[in-house]
Amino acid sequence: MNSSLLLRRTRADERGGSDVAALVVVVPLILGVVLMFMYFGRQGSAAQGVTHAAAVAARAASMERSSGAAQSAASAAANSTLSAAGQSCAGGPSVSVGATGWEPGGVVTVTVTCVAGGIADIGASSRTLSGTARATIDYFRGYDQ
Amino acid sequence: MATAIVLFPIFAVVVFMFVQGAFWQLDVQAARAAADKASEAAAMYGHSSGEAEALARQQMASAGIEGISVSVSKGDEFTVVDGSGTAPGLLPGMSISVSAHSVTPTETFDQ
Repeated sequence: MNSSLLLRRTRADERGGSDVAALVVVVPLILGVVLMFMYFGRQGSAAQGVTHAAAVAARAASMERSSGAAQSAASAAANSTLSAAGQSCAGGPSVSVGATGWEPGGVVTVTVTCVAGGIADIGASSRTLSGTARATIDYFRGYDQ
Repeated sequence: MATAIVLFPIFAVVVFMFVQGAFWQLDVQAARAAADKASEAAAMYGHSSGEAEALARQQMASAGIEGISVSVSKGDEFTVVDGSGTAPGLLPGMSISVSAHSVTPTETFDQ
């Protein structure tokens, strides 16, 4: 075999090998970008759902006449909002209610915490999400002291 | 050289997809936030669905979403808002559809 022909073939083989190596790097990179978008998209959507549930729970709490009733109303509102949206939390959502004072014009603060599942197939772990909302306690009601 | 010829277009496409995806995600979040606000407003006792629909349309339009369609369904138990539209793409003719769904328990008046 001619030595120059052998050299050309060797160089062509090297080029082909480096193209394959490049694809081996690039294809997983593209898949990684797509999976990353899916993961962060799902987490972002879940975080928005929790914030929405907190807003609904704060509104429900602000309409009650006592702190005990507010806690029940906030928990029920957060649970029904999350379940109606098809969002599941491991162990159920945790709802905490605090108020500056249970009187008309006071401010009630509700925090909803939810452990959202990750994407187990790619080893993305679950993440704790929380949302906080505030609402003014209703002026036009009687209150239990 | 051959590697660069193969890799550069792929790299450019990956970067383009990344930026386009980030913009799409922002528009999806804006649509979702608008739907959440609208469903919270429509679910309030005595509030009309029309005002909530107008609110959702206004918020989605301010986020740059076009071809907006919003439906508000106020039931005895839940108020549901569905919104959709198209988000402008980085290049002309590459707009992507976005949609949002929000549910809020309907408020009732108890004596």
